Amino acid sequence: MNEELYEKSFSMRHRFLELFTKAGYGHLTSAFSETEIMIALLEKVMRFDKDKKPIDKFVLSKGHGAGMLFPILEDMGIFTMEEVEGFLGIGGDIMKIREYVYPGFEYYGGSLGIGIGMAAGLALGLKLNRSDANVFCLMGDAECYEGAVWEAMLFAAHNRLNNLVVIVDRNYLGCSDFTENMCGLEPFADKWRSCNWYVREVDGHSYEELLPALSDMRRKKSDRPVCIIADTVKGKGIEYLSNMPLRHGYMPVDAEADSAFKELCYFGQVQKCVGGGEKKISNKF
Amino acid sequence: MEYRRFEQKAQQLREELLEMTITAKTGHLTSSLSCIEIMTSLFYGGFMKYDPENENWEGRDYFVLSKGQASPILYLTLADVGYFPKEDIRLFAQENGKLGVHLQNSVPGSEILGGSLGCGFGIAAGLALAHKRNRELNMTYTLLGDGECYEGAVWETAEFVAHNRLNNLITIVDRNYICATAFTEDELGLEPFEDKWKAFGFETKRIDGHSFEKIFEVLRYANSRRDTRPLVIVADTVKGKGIPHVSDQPLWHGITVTSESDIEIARRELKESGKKGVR
Repeated sequence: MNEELYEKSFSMRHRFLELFTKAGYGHLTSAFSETEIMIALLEKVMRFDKDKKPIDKFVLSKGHGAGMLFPILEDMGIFTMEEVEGFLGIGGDIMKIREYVYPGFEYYGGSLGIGIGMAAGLALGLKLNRSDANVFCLMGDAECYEGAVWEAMLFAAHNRLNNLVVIVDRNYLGCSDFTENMCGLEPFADKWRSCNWYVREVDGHSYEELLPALSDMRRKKSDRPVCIIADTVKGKGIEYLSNMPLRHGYMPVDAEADSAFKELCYFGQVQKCVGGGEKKISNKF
Repeated sequence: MEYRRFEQKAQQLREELLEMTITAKTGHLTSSLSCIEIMTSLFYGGFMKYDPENENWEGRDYFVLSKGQASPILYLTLADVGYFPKEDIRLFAQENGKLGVHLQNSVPGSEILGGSLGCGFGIAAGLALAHKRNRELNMTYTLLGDGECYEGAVWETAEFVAHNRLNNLITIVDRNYICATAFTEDELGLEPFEDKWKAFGFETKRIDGHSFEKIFEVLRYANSRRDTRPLVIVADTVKGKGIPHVSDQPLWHGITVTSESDIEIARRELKESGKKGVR
């Protein structure tokens, strides 16, 4: 049913590799764990007007995952390939991208824990303006170590920001280790619930679960802000990079890049590898 | 009636506190009044080990006052148990005095430099972790304000404490429902407060923070429990307890009674509430 979307997430990953192995930097594993969430959000859930300016707001709180925006926005036809590659190369003017006011470029990301506060402020502003637009915020799970996140959570729940949807990319990995080894986050959903948020847990690599959850939340059925905890695998798509600590911010170059292309897998109902044939698989590795 | 002695002590501290802040014309009177019973139980109830003669005794239990604005009551208690002479109290927040409005670490027995909210809890967690690593039996007690829990640093620490299973850290939250300018539930709702701590991996106890019976019960439990989870005691209190004129009102934070009429009312009300028992 969503075969087309799975195809798309494969091609987006492929395009990401093309762009960033050339640039030689980027957070590959972080970008791959959030690919499906981003595609679902940007291509299916968020609303754009005729000039392709976003009506709904999108704040990428995990700024290191921003690499995935480039192939997706390119695919949506917001900018062309030449422009993108111009931005990304050494000496490229990456800040030029702000001229286009893209979703996700509302602020300079990378300092963790700040985006959700920013999203809560946007949501409050929209609410005061009687706008029906939603604010989507994508966060990392290890980002929740930041106290600023919990401050923003209290704020959002107190102000009944039901137009705020936070998606947590729960890949169980921080920068250097598994989150449960560094400083346990579980019971994670209970933490959000205790702050009066509506919590929904989904598989973050399955469009069948993501799309209904995300579009449902747009309908403002309660007065609480919404948190969608998306269970993901860091580095999904390339098996030898996935779910491994210390692969944060890693980008294969030269010879390794070739093997990354070879290993890149399509998943959905049927798994296809670029190098080989097809095999039936479950959705998880 | 077995708590009569402690009630009298609390009343004595209240009266001294009022006079102390009147002389200084400053000091967080209401914040201090709300946690007097908790402090009295800890220091006089035999729960904490400490040696006023030797402030650096290694076997002592640590008391970290994270809500550093309530320093007047800590100074008073420390002077009363004999850490430093009571004469110093008269120079609280005045020229040539040793005692500042916010908690100073130069004061014997104060442990930390307080006043930046949310920081003391982190220090207490570090102390508890060190004791655990060294296989020492010292307990660490820390007193948080409820408005302090707006600070993200508190929740960062909470994650850390639960993850490292610091069951030698007893966290007490002075839940007086008022922060500096407004009621907490108006400013930013904290309820369900216990659920938050539970979600962060704590065992919670909710008590009346002005009842010695309840405080003693829970502290006895805290010292005898066998659990890897850390314990948080949420003590429901009244800000400015003992002086109805200043109690339970926002904007009575950080100041004391200064005008002649206010001072008179406060003195009279405190005496009355002492006569019939504060409760």
